Amino acid sequence: MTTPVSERQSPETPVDELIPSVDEAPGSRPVAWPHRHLLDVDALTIDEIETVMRTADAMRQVLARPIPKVPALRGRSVTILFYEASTRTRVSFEVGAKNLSADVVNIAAATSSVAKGESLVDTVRTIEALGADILVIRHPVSGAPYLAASVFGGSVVNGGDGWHAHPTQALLDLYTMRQRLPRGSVAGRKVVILGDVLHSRVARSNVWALTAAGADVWLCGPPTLLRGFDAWARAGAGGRRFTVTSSVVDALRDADVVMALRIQKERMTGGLLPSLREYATRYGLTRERLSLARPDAIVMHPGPMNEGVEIAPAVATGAQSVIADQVANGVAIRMALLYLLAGART
Amino acid sequence: MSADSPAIALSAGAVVADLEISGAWLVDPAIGREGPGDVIVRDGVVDQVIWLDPGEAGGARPDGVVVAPGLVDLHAHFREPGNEDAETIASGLAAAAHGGFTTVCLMPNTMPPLDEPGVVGRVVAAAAAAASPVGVRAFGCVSAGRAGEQLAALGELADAGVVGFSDDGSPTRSSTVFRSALAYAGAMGLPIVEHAEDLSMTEGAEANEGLVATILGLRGWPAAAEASAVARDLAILGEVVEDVPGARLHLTHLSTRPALDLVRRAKAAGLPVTCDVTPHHLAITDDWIAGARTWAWEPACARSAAPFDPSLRVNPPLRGRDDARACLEALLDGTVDAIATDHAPHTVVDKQVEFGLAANGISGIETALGIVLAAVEAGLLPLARAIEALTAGPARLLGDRLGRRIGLVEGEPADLVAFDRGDRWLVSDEALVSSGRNTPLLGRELPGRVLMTVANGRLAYLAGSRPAGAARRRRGSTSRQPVRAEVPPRRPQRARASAAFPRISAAFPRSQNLLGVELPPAASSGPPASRHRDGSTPGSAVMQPSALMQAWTGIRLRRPNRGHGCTRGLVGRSSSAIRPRLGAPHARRRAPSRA
Ligand SMILES: [Zn+2]
Repeated sequence: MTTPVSERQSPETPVDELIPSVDEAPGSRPVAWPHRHLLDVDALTIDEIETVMRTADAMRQVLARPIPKVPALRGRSVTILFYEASTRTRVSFEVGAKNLSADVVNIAAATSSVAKGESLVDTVRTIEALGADILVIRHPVSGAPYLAASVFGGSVVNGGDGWHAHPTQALLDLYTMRQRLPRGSVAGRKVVILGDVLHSRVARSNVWALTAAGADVWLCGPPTLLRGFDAWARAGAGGRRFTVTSSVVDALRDADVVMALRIQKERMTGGLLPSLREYATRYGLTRERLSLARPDAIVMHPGPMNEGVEIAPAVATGAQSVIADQVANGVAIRMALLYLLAGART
Repeated sequence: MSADSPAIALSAGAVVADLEISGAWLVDPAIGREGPGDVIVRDGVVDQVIWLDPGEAGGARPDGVVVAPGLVDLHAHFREPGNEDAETIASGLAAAAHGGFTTVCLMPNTMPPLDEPGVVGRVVAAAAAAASPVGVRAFGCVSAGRAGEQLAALGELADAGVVGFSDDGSPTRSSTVFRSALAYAGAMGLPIVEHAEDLSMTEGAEANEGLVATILGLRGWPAAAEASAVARDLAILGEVVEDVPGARLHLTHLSTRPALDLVRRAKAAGLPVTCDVTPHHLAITDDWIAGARTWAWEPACARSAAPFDPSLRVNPPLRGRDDARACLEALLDGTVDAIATDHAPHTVVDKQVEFGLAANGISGIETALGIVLAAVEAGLLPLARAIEALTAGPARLLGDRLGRRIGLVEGEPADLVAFDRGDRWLVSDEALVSSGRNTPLLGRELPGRVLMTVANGRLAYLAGSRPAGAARRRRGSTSRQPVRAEVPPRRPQRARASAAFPRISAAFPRSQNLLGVELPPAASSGPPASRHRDGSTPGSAVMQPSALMQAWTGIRLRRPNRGHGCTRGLVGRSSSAIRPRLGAPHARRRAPSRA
């Protein structure tokens, strides 16, 4: 959602001045990133998204060095607080922060301790007292990073909250698409997000990022997993329309990008789907279905995958798959965001 | 009133010996009348109600100082016994008085719940110990332990004085138990108060199912969950009344258009059903969760607050604009019988957590009148209807068990609220009296500062003073120490005061003398000072009229230099005056008719 006005700086920052020379400390640049936190994608303007993309380019150059390490965040402390199991995202943040020479503290809070024991507010205050500058938080309850940001003195990065948002994933997805699409742009491209949209923070954040970048966004899945999205599509994301359909044929026809979402077994018990097998039959991304898309269409998945359910193994590892690129780009995007936030002036 | 006007440092609980309110706008829903007038109270009893001709109104306006019967809340949670950190009966009653309420009906979902008469006795005892003049009524549980499986001790609870039965917090789960309860309570002339929610549709629900929940990724709470529960309840009621004509169903805190439509049709069909809505469902919408902060009837505008404020988590959830509009329409066309606060105080521990883990509820008894007056100010709700829905409406549902007469009635114990519609007050940590600070209105101004609440002939609240039982905030601690003014043990006389009782009893701890008035030593006689829990010794005074008069006329009112409370004396922008005074009232011409 929109960031409160007080959190922003008014003048639009010229993009060129923000492109870092990554070997410098972030605060040394004349113009700084205007957001203290990264909680939501919709708080970012398209120019700011562009800045993230170009900063990530610089980070990829760092990653290509023999020793992919710069001193940019030396002396800064990054705490990674995850209330949900995750390998990919957590490691990606950790590697990214270490590549920037930050001190990294990893806290894995058991999911069960969310509802009891130390409150999130107390935990965050403790982390702050221990000297953290940047807090990366993943939490199963939507909006939890906002609560953390309300009591944390430094910067909070949303590493995924409930069904609500996963900003770094959406940005790395956009980055990967631009890398692979002709002319490096998603504008006017048909991007299909297929699967369990209802429970997906990745889908929500991608709606904001991709519509901002001008993509023709389609959300597709069984009607029970699209509940409420029709109304959102009509209202638009920041006024930008997108399309919602239960017809996998309509969605995939002539698509440029197909992103399959993980389908969780818990959804079966909630009365939302008859069975995983039926889901795979009707909505799984098979070779046959993929042939409806453009021949050069790319296939994405935010992971972790249930191969054989939402995506066929042959598609996941096929020539059109950019899933491995997503993982690699994840590190560059997270380095870019940590770097920008460390230099934030608000 | 200028700063040197006479005023009195009456403590809450004191019998209002002598009070004249002149040139105010009187609203009396009992006789369906509003207009300029004076109210004179003697020895706790309404001595005269003088309706003035418009010509002699002298500036009294409906948007100035208003005097109305004390408000009645059908639905409040005071958390005692079981969760006294969130609210005690004493702190809740003080908050009620600050909100203008003189009768509150407590919901039975305490720990333990009010499912047997012993717990009712504890509540009654706590209310007596609170020594607040605000009247306490209680609902008993429908089912034992609120588990929805077995009837609670309905008959014994009725004998203990409950005003009806409710499993509020949740619906009566078993339809069979619900049916039995309607019949059993109906035969005793008592209503079943139903929290209508189909729990199978709302498991884990966080926010109204709609655009806001979709965008924010909150688990949706469908409107159909309310409508389908209402449909069940009405279908059962329709059958029960065939056997038990006295059966009555009250649906509390309805929040959706489909549910209100069902009630409208049921009423038209003659079913004995009533309902209430809350102030927050009238005025606050789910886009507040996304950061909006405009009333439901105002144009949507840019988000101004951070999203996911846990103080907005409430059951039933805040709905969309059309549902809020439907609540207002139903209030205007009589489908809704009452406005009830659903005052639900919570501790910081339960509320300053992730949105989806926060306890449901808004602390609302102090802001209810202000929210409703905001709707009046916007021209959407006539003042008289607003007052009716806060007084006579709920009173009708309680019948004899209300225990008082609604209205500005000569010869009855004074039970009234005076508020200034032209005076806005800031909802702040300092201004609130309830232990529950869980309101999304913190930092917002509301119209209609309450100047004075008089309950059962005694002073319940006076602007600028801290009411009896008010919770005192202490930093870093959730425990609360009630600050209690000493209260004379006597009950107010029901009949007109005799000449033998022309005195005012007032007592106050000197440290709490917020009006800044020092009584002359001559007036300080009476009962021995008692010790307060904070160790300070209160000053006490039982004064003869002459001494008091002397005190008043000799007093210059120094305004306390504090953020909260009375900033302009007890007077609004109009020429109305609330003047405690002694001696014979001025002879006044009465308006020709009393309609
Ligand atoms: Zn309820």
